[in-house]
Amino acid sequence: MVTASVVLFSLWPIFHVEIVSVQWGLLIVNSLVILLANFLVSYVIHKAGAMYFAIGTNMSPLIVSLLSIVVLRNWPTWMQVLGGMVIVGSIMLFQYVAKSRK
Amino acid sequence: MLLYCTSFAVYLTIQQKLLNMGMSPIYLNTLCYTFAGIFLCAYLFFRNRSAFVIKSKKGLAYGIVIAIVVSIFADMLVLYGLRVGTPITWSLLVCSAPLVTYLLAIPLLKEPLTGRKFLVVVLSILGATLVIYLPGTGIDLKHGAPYFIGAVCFFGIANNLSQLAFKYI
Repeated sequence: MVTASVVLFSLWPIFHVEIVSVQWGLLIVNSLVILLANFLVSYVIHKAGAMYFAIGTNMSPLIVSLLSIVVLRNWPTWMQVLGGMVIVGSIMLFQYVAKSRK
Repeated sequence: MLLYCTSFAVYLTIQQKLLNMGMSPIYLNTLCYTFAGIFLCAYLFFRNRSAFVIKSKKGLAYGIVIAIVVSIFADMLVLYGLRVGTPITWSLLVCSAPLVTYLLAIPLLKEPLTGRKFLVVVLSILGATLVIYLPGTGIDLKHGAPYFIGAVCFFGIANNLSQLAFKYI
């Protein structure tokens, strides 16, 4: 009942004038991709463990940057590349510290 | 793992494209989760109907709070950030979410703070500062950085709440 009321309540924007020209196909693909990504989080953690997942997610900025360059023509700045490397490096160090403590 | 990273990248790129078309973040967020909810409900209805049975009221309460924090607060901030910023900035800043989770876990879950972990936190903050730093202008707060930092904080809160929720689910 709760799920049904939430779904019905959230359907109201469909009838809103502002979004009549929306690309529905892209929107539905986006929803399916959200579900796929969430399913894969659980699947990878179940099959390979949280540590492997946490290390693996560090490559997501690389793929996002590549896709962003190809599709949106957005290029990262040198500072962003450097900052990203520092963040990813510090996360890997954090995981190494956590693993060595175990 | 590669499939997960690719789906995350596709998801961000599509959202950026829809926002560039002039769609409002609030409608985009509502519609995406509405369709995702419908697909998931349909899947569970045909495959596993017992998932609709509420087993623990506390678990349900945690689930609702986590859903509000992630799907409404965090994702809305991401979308508002993407409207003025880029997916690259978000994908780099979201990497610091485990550290925000850890920082919040120190008071909430009584996690111990060691010298090495403190060094890692400092390095991560330095990295995040570099990501939003524009040479000559200073720290760039115009291109979505405050939204992205807020979203990372909400993800950190949600991760800590999830840890607490596992006691009941």
